[in-house]
Amino acid sequence: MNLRGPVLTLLAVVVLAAVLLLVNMRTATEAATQVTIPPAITQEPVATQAPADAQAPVDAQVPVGTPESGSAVAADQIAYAGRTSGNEATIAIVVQGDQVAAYLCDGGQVEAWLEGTITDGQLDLQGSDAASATGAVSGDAVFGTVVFGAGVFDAGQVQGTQWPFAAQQAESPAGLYEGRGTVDGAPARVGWIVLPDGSQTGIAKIGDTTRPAPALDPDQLTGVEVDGSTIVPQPVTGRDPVLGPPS
Amino acid sequence: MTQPDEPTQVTHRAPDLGLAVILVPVAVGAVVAIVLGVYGRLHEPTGIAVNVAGFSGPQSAKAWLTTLAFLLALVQLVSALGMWGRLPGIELAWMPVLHCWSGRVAVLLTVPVMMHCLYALGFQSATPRVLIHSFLGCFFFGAFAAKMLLLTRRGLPGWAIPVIGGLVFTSLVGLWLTSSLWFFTTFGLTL
Repeated sequence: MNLRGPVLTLLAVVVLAAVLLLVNMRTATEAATQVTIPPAITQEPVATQAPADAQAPVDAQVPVGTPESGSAVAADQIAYAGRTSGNEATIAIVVQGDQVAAYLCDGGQVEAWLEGTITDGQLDLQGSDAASATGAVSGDAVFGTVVFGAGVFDAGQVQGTQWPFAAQQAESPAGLYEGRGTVDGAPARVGWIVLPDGSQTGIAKIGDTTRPAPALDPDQLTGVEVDGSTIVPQPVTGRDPVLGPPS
Repeated sequence: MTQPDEPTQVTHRAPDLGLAVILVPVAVGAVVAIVLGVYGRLHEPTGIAVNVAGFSGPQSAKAWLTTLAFLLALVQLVSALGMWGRLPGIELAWMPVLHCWSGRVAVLLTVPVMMHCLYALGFQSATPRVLIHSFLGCFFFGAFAAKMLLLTRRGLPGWAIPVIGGLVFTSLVGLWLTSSLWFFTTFGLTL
């Protein structure tokens, strides 16, 4: 038997692993850069919220114990928070420049992450599973409609449903928060909407299951316990790519 | 004078040499396993990492890659038996080639899984399944490294390769049981 064979096999494994590691680290670095500097164009929508890059840049930006302090909120960012007309769900919309990130959730089963643009006061958002939303800014409020496309959630009555909503401009700590991490080996993502009156709704999606999110303390964004794992919440900005990779 | 001496020297040294030949590759394998484990423990899991496209999610991608590797591991077991003459009546010249290449493909399939696990999830201990899986993951790549290095050595005791190969195979089966099988029985056979 050729004695070099095993060594070459070993080398192939090492090289493949190293390449994957480098790609991972590059992705994380770019995402970390994006958090500190005003973000540039499109990004791998992944690691922006990941705890890994929560080390230096995010800690610097959101000091422990400080409610997403003024420095964390970009000057050109406006957050809106409100409810659907039938009070089925809450919605938060964050506008930064012409970029918009939004989240709708009922605090139990139904949630939708949306992102898109705002042009001349008109919002045009797309979400995963063919969900979409349109809206218009009027004074310090946004009025619009969320449409759930086919294939959204298992709850049949939600599918194809349209929910009109109204959201008012909201000052920090009201707004939109997101945390990503791992719970029991499964990728986990938690979204919270904090309304101006301080009430909040949130959903934790762990693997393919959704459940109500544990309470978020907007003044202590250090970590929230989800099934024994710690998820670090972060304020969502308008430029955050909230439509994660398909999962 | 020298002629009677030499055989005794050789027979005297042979056991020492055999163990020394084994020790270095096994030590390297142990270091690999420990480094992977320490990295997985110290590196803050990102929850996300590059993965193979075309699946509904990172978990299902990994579950299927591991399943393919597991099936190839069964090929490994059979072809190894063939190579060692334990399949009565079957003497195929291409058994070693089959063993070599099924093994290469299998281990390369596990590398993206390993990197995703290490980078996105880390070494976890929340439940017995997760702890066993984390441990076996590190052990598997350590054992694999040890086996590749052992294959380059001459003068190995006859049991060395079957034992290390068995460890690699067993840990991969354990990894499959604690990940893919768990995933498929929990979430269904989703692609």
